[in-house]
Amino acid sequence: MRRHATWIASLALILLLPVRVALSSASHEAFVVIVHPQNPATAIDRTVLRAAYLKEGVRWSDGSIVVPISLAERFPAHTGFVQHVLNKSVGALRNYWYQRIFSGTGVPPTEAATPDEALARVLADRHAVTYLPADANRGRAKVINVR
Amino acid sequence: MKRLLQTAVLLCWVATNASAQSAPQEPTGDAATAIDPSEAAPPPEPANVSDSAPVAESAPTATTPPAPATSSVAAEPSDAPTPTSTAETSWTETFAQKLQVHGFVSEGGFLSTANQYIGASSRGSLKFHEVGINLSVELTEQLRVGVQFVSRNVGTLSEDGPRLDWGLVDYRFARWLGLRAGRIKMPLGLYNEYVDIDAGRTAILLPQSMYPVRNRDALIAHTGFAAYGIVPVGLGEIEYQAWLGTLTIPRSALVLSGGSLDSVDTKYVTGAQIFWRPPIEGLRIGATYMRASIDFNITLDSTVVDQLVMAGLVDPAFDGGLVISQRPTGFWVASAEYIYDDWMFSAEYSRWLKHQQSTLPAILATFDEDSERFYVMVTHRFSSVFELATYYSVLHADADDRTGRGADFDPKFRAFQRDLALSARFDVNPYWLWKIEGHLIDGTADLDATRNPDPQRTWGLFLIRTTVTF
Repeated sequence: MRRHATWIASLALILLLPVRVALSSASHEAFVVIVHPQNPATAIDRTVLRAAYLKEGVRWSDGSIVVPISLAERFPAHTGFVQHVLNKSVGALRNYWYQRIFSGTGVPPTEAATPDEALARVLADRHAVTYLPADANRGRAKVINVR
Repeated sequence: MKRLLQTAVLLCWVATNASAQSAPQEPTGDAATAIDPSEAAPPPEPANVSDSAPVAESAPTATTPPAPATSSVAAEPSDAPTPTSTAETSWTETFAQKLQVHGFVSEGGFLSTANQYIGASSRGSLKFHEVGINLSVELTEQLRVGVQFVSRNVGTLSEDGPRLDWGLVDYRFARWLGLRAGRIKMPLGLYNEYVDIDAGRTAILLPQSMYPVRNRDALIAHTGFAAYGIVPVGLGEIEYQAWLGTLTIPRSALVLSGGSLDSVDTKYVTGAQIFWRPPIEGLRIGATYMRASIDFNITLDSTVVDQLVMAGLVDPAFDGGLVISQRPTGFWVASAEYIYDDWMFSAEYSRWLKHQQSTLPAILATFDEDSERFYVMVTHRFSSVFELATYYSVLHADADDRTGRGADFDPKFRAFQRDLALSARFDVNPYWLWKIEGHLIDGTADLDATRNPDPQRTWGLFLIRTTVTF
C-alpha cells in the first residue's frame, strides 16, 4: 500500500511539475499596456490592439493613427504580449513579419531595445502605445486596460 | 566582393538600429493593471475597428484629445527625449530610426532519383542560391517607400545578376483603403507574395501545383497600381486587394526550338483577391482571380523559314516573324487557411486557363488549355526551433483528361503530377535556419518536356537548404 502511495505521489509530482514551471515562467511574462498621459483612452479592445500591432492602420478616437512600439524579443513581457494579444508565438510573429518585409507589404512596429526606451517613446508621442513588464518603471505614462 | 557588400550592409543595419536612448522617467507609483498571460485570456471579441469611429474608449475627463499626427513631440516638450542640436540632426535621426534594412542569403542543393526537375537534378545540383536585400522607410504613419533587389541562381532558372524584385510607394488613406504604385508583388492565392521568403514558411518548395518554381519569375510581381484594405462586415472582416499593370516576363518563360524570342509584350494584367476573416481567430477563406494578355514576338531561324517556304506553309516573302498570343491567360484560386496554436492547415483549388493563338496557325494551331491544381498542407511547430510540414499537391495538365487517356499525352503520366512532401525546419537562432525536404512524386506534368525526353513516372526529389535572414 505504501509503495502504491509512493508511486502515486511521484506521478502526481511529475505531472504537476510542468504546471508549476509554466505558472512560474508565465508570471514573469506579465505586462501592462501604456499610452501617453494625455491620451484619453482608458481601455482598448484586444482585437483593436492586435490590428494596431499588425500595422493595419488602426486609429485613435480623434482619427490619428495608433503608433505601436514593440519591445525586444528577449523580454518575457514581449512573449506574454505576443501570445495574449496577438495570439501568436514569438516565432510565428517573426515569420509573419518576414513575409511582409520581403514581399513589400509591410514593416513591423518600431522596436524599443529596453522598457525604458519604450516608455520614453510613448511619453514623446501622444499617439503611441506600448507594453512594459508589469514591474517596470512607467513614469507618467497611463496604463490602459485590454478588454 | 559579395562578402564585403554583405558586411557593409550588416554594418549599415546595425548603425540604423542603434538609436539613441532617452532618459527614463521617474516612477509615479500609479496603480497597475497588469495582464498576466497565465490567467485565462478573454474570449475573442469581434473587431470594431473603423476609420471614422473611435477605436479606443474615451475617458470621462476633460483632458485634451490626442492631436493630429503633426508635431506630437513638440506638443509635450517636458516628456520629449533629449533635445537635439539642430532640426537637421533631428530629421536625420528620425529618418535613421524609421529606415529598415533587411536581407537574406540562402544556399541549398537538390537531388532527384530520376528526371530533371529544375536543372540537372538527377546527378544532384548545388545551384540553389538566392540573395536579397531591401530597404523600407515609413516617411509618415501612412506613407511608406521600399525597394528590394534579388539575385537568384536556381538550376536552369538562373539570372545574370541582381534585379529589382519590388519597389513601391505605399500610401494608406484609411484602414479600408491603401494604394501602392510601382513594381508590386502579386497576391495570387495564399502564398504567392511570400514564395521567395524561405524564413517565412516551413517547406522549401511550396506546393508546386499552385506555386511552380518555373513560373515564379513571370507571376511574382507586376508593374502598375494596387489597392488594398480591410473592411469590417457583420460577421468578421473582408480583406481585399485589386491590381492593374503589366508583367515582366523573362525570356526563359517560353521554351523555343528553331527560333529566338525577340520580346514579350504584356498588354495588361489585372486581378483581385478577397479574403473573409470570420470571428474565428486564425481562419481566412477567400478567392483570387487574375487575367492577362501577353504577346511573344519571335523570329524563326532561316533554316526553319526555308523549310516552311518549301512546304508551302508560308509565302516566299515571309520574313520569319511570328507572334504567339496568350489572350486571355489567367486563373482563379479558392483558398482556405486556419491557424490554431502551433498548427496551420491550408488548402487551395485552382484552374489555370489559357487561349493561345499565333500568326501562323498552320504550324502553331490555336488551342485552349484548362489545367487543374490543388493541394492540402499541414504545418506544426513543435518548439521554437523545430517545425514539420507535409502536403499533397496535385496538378492535372488538362482538367478534362486527368489520367492522360487522350492523344495529347505521351506517355500518359505527362498528364498529371501528384506530389507527397515532408519538410523539416530547424531554427538555429532567430536569424539562421536549416531545412530538409523529401518528395515522392507520381507523374511528370510539371517537368520541362525538352529536358526530359524519356521521363520516369515515379520519382523522388530531395532538397536541403540553409538561410540567414536579418
